[in-house]
Amino acid sequence: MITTIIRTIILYIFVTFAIRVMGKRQIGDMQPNELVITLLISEIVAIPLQDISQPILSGVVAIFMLIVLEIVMSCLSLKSVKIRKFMSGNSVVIINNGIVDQNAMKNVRMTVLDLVEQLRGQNVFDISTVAFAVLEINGNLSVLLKSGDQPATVKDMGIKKEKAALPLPVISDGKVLMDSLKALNITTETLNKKLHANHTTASEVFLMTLDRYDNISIVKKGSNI
Amino acid sequence: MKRLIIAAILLALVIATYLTSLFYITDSCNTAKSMIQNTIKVYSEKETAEKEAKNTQKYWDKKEPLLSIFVNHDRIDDIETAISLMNVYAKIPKNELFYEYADNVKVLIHQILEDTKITMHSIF
Repeated sequence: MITTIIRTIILYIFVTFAIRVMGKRQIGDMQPNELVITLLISEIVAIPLQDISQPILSGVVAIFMLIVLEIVMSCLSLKSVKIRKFMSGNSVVIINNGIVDQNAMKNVRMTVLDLVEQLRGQNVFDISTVAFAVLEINGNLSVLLKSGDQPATVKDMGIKKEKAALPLPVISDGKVLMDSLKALNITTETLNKKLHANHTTASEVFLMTLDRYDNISIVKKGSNI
Repeated sequence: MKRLIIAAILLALVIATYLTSLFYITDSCNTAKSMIQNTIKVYSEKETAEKEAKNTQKYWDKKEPLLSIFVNHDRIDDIETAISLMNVYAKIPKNELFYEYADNVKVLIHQILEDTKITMHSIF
């Protein structure tokens, strides 16, 4: 039993390392080769976990080789369009200038129901409003509405708006996040002054966000957001 | 670039592991094989080979922990059992079972050596 526990810990460390090196992606966002490698890693790890007569090194070496292959192939994909096409395939235009390309749908084995469902997923309920729809390599459908059906933007309406700034969390659960302060280029003293102006202290704050235009948002501990 | 460096380090680790395992397995198995050969020779000449068989077992016991990192544990256990049995029959003069177990050990060791070779059989 203790062997299994130790082996699990070791393999957990290696798999976490492997996934970390490969980069953060959700299953749905993975390229075909990334999905294959993720599936292979899980299968390879299962063997030495279940069969303790199998040397753990055989699993670890296989994981390392998969990471090497994944990194090398992703680097080659960046350099060469041909390799990228071979590894990941192409995106396919399903609706071109408002016209549904039935041949393209046949090629990617997509039914009308699939298309309508994917469009609904993009908040498009009327297919006639779509100018272009592209089936991406990861299986998502990107949609561009006809110009008359696109929602009005602030620019269209001629409204002047303040520049947007990214609010960063500076206090989380009473703890001051020094990295955020550094990114915002402010000191702890400045932060304390801001907290004082809002009649609170860092230890009383559940979440505090701040942007570079000094917009503050504070959620105190125990209060409902 | 950082990821390429990681890949290069990992590849170097894999190659180093492969070479270490290859040399260690080959060396250990060849030595064990020659020790068994010697045990068989002494047994056929003197009718017992208790000392030689014991030395072989001692050698295998010494090599076993590190070999377990590279070789399937069941195979190592099988060799361990066969060497123990060979040891028992090495004390008894003119016993056919001694030769049987000695050959068994040789075959099992040979199988491990075969697995280290890159052949069509091992790949596919």
